[in-house]
Amino acid sequence: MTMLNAAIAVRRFGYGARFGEIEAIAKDPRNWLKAQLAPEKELPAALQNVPNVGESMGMFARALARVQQRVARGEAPPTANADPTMPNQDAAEQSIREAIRPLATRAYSARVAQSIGTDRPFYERIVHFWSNHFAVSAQKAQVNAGVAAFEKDVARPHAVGRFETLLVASSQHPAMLAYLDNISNIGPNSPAAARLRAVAERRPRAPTGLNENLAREILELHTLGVNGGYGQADVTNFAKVLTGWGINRRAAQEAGRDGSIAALSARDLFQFTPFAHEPGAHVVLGRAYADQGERQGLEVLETLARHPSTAKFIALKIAKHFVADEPPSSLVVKLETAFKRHDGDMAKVFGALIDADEAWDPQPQKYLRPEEFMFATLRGLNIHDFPVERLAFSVEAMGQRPFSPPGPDGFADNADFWLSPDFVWRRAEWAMLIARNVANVAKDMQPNRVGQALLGPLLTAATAEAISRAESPAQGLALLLASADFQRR
Amino acid sequence: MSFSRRSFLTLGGAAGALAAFPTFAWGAQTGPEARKLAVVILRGGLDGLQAVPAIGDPNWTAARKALAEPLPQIGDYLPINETFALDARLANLAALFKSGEALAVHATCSPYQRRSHFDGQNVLESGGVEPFGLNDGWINRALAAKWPQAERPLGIGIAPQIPLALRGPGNVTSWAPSRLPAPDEDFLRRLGNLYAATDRDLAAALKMAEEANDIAAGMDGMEGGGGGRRFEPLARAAAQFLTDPKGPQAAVLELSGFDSHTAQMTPAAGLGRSMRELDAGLAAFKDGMGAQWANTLVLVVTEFGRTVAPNGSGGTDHGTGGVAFVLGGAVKGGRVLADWPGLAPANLLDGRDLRPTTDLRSVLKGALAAHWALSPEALDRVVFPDSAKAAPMMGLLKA
Repeated sequence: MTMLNAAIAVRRFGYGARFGEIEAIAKDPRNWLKAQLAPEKELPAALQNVPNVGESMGMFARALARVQQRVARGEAPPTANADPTMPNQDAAEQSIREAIRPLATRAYSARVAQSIGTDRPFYERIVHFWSNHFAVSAQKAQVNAGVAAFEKDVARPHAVGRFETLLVASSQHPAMLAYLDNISNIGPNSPAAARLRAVAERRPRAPTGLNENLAREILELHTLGVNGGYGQADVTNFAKVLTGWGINRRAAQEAGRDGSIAALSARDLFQFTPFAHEPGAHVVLGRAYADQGERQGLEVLETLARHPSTAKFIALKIAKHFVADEPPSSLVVKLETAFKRHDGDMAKVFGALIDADEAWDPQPQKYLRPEEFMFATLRGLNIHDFPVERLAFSVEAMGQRPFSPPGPDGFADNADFWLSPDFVWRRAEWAMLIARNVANVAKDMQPNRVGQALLGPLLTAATAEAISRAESPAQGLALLLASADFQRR
Repeated sequence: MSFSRRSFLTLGGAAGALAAFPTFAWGAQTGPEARKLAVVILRGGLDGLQAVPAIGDPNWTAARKALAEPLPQIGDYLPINETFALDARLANLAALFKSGEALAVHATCSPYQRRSHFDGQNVLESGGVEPFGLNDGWINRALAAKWPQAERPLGIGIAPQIPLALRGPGNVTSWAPSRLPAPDEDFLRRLGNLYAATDRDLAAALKMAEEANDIAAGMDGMEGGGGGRRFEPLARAAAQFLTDPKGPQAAVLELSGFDSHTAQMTPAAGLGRSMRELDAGLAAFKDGMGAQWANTLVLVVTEFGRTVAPNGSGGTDHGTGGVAFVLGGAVKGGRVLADWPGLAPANLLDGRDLRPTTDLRSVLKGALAAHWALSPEALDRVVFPDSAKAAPMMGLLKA
């Protein structure tokens, strides 16, 4: 049983086994997981190179400025969209993307290296769970490598901390503020709106009112859930509360001039601007929050973090991500109870997940997402030198473009979405591609051995037989990687 | 019979003589650099008796049973001589036999004779004696021995990464189309079977994808059904690399789908499809080499042959002795070279396999000796370590 639980631990809770890992943790798989529920003491070495949000946004600002200069000089056509930060396919957009691509490549390289090399894969999965829960996307050019910065600044340090801390860090991160447009959320009765209306002729695009995007998504996607008990008035009022939460443009500009912008952290770049804040008390979920500037928003977030709907929503999402698309309600209740009892202490919630017998059902319930599949493959086969551009291309071909979830709800987490014929086909292609790269080279890459090492007791007889009958090591490995045993966890 | 036993072992000295000959001057490159090598590795174990049936062997029909005669829709065997023929799905290859630019060596095998694909391919590619005894490949060692000072890549693997045969001390590279390569039919069939047995959702998705891709292939104007779809462009690419003025000396190509455990007489699926792909690829390669074909040597090898008799599902299982092909403008072709063991039951290895009578290393050494004038010492000790007993086969190329 312990070998089986060890195999479940590395696959369901981690990014798959490395050679020898199942045996190594077989003594006490639960304890191996629990030991990972401690915050990182420092940023892992593989991630030292992840661009700061300042570097990412500074790079975007410079690229945008260059395009605007060219447009002004008549050397380039104006952007098709009124808002040049919105994704479109025109030339200006393309040239901005080209300029910022190396940054995203650097960031993805770090993400891959960390995921396949870490000794704490459960922690890594939790980090990635949070960065997908509080999703920001490079689909918005302005965000670009800020997705990785967000993960570094928000999801990673607070992965097993209090939910409220995560929620605040997320809601104040420059990438989130840009992605969900809170930098355009202006109190209609604020001095800033009055000023901007006065110059509307010169600056017709300047925002002069609410943008409720962030407020709505915090309620719907980050905390209560869509049926969590809020209405439109709550959204509107919460948006008012969040006015003034934005990016310190002056700091960014000054740092951009002397080149020190790359050093600017999320904290350096967040700024509450009273000038743009909607004055007055605002009622959210039946409670009036007095106008205390930034504090007003922090108090709403505190309420949301402790809301029973949030406990339920987060519990369900964790159970769905780690255990099953349709998890047992008894499991969800256990997580929800831990969330409430420990005031959103995520170490306790994930501890409850480890303790729950429902999480150890040997029957695989989840279909790996493309990136999980890729990481499990690279990790299991000990591949560290594959060109990151090709990995990014591959995982995009399989449907999960790096750093680019299709929307603020993140990448899909259910098999129905990923089990499309085209995606399944591309996984088969990728399995063969990788297998050809590693087979015929080393003795320890013989598919039967690999299957045993990476799946342990989870390797079914049918898959083992198919592998052993393969016509070449490459084909055997490809069958293993594409098999249901490997694709599901 | 038109072959003579051991005849190829009596033509000693040709390698030394060849080194003194001026190189052909048809292509852009002259000197030793004009002499190109392409090696095609057929993965899965080509059934040598399907590709090159020994129809003149007195025991052919009795030994081969249901596989003795091709199905009508495949077409009659294409005769090479009184004893041997070619499968009709190798029509381009047959034309090269007719024009004297291709020969086959039959009843050959690497030193490995234990019927595992994984080990067999390792020995085939490494050029060693035991599986996993060497960490690099014979093609690389041959290149390094011939051009020890070269700074340009001497070899190229037409694959996502460098095949073992091409790994080693010499400077080599690899190339593959940048998009994800389409999985081969045999792999998809196996994966489909595995999914059918284990996972209904995955089985359904894969089946739908296959159907969609078949339609898409037709819309693209790509060749549908008959094969050549994935190998031919790679073969053309290999020719393009080799004919480049700064190109490498050797290219390695891989083709899988030869593990014909079932229904190998199906006209254009499974083995039939793989043979068609090989055939189309070889023709495309020759075409791509242009005038330099005259200086080019192509070696087609596989890890082992298969059982002589069919198994219970119309296919053949892993065997031992099989066939290798030697092609090129300089090849003394039109022949089948074999120390033919015969198909009488008593002559089969373990009562089931074509008995290997020619060490495949002899073929490879003979070809390299003639083509690149490698010294016997280099061939015996470096390129194929511990192979002194496998003497180079002489007379493969025109004198």
